[in-house]
Amino acid sequence: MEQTINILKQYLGKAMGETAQMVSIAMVASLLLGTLIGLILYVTETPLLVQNKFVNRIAGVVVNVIRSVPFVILLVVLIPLTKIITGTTIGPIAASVPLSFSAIAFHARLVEGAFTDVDTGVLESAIASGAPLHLVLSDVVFVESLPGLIRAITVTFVSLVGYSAMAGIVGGGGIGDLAIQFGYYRYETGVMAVTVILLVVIVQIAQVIGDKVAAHFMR
Amino acid sequence: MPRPVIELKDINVNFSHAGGTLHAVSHVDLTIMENEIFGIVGPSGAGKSTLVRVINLLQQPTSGQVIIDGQDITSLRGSALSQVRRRIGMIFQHFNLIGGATIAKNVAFNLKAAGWKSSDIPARVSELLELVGLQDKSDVDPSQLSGGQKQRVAIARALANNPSILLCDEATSALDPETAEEIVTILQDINRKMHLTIVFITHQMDIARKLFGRIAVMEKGSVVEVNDTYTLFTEPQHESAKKLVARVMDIGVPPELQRHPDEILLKISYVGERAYDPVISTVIKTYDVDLSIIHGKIEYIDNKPFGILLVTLHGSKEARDAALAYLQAHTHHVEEVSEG
Repeated sequence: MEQTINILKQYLGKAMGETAQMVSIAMVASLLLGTLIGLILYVTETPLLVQNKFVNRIAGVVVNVIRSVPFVILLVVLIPLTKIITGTTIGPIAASVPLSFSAIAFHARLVEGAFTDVDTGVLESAIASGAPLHLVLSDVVFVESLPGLIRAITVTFVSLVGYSAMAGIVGGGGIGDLAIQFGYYRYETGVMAVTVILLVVIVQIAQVIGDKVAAHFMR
Repeated sequence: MPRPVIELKDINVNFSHAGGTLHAVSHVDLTIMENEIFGIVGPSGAGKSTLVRVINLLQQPTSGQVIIDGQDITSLRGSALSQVRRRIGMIFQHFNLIGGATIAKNVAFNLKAAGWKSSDIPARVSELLELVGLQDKSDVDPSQLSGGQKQRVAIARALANNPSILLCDEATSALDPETAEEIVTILQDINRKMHLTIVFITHQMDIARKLFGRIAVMEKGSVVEVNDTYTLFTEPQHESAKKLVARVMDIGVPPELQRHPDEILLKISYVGERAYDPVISTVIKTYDVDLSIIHGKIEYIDNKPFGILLVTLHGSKEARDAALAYLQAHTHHVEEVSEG
């Protein structure tokens, strides 16, 4: 028991910081690039917008390839790229690179789905008004899909918390890594329990907040 | 001399699907004149919705030409097409308001679309909402409005940029009869006041009778008949037109009716000025027949009366034939009904 408390005192703060770092970098990346790729997928597949089967297919294949490679493999495959981008291959910053790749592709599909749920009739009436594309996207598509986008962000965040545990394999650290290093390899069941409960609480809080915000924008 | 505002020339729209090609619209030629209320009617699946979307190129035709105010717009894209679309308002069956934006923002969207200065927008929005009697609803969400109110917002929005054309896609089909009537009145009003050309598609023949000046009947992608509303309702030519009109105009023979051997059952229709002639009393006074009225009604189309009477003619064969001949000469149409 004392041993457990000592380990937690020594490592938990640092682990939480690392998780926060990895998750926030990947979250920002997926919010920017994932949303952008999701938008490209949506815009190029919708006949009323700028349907472009070629661009759509390319973007779709790229997203599918990233999503179909198991995350552990992606971690390893991307090591050279990680080295180029961050100058190192270990630590939470380095781990953020494969994490971001995975999250961007994942989030792009969720965003595409949220946009696709926008009522075709509403889109039609916006196009019929003679509005330029950027206005249709900002004032109609984004507004109408806002609850869906918020739900997508929640799902991406929750998945990222889970995936960040695996990032420990390339020396990323974080809460999940703490659970494996101490809880599993050193049979510290107490550490395991605390970290797992902590992850459950984080996910639960994120889900509740996400649902509340989405409901607020649902009209 | 009214000038053509919309000309559709040999429009075809094909959709390819797994099993082959669907000809949603085939070889449609239509000319719609300035300031008229032009209706397109037909059963669902006839291609009406597809055809009306060709007018503002929401649906690109597979072949053919779309000419608006003398300008061929078929090949326009991008901002040139957007500019034409701003002159063509459109309203829909399910209103299609932006659910996440207030009523005022919904109307403002169309103004922003046309590049209005944001400082000029609020005044124009209240002006438009006042036009449809919803000035007090500007900060309300669409979900809090009734169907009729939503359609009024949609009308305000469609009129934002002073279009010369208004397209209506089943605009009254999701509304109850009284509310539909309200929308019809508003449309008639703006047609008169704003010199708007209205193209309205519907399967509701009752709306057609009240609102349209001319009607095109569509069936399986083709326009099979075009005529002014009165003529179409009183003398439909094509089978499909007859079927549509019959639902509004016809009267059935009461099944309880007792038939006697020395009488005949006649369905008499009369149109225009003749509807007011005292034909029935003349028949009774002139010929040795008895005539009883079983059923009858007068409909007004375009403010012109159209009447149908169901009568039995009782008397000797000679007297009946003479009376029948008189009726045939002095009414629009007489038909002997054999089956009750």
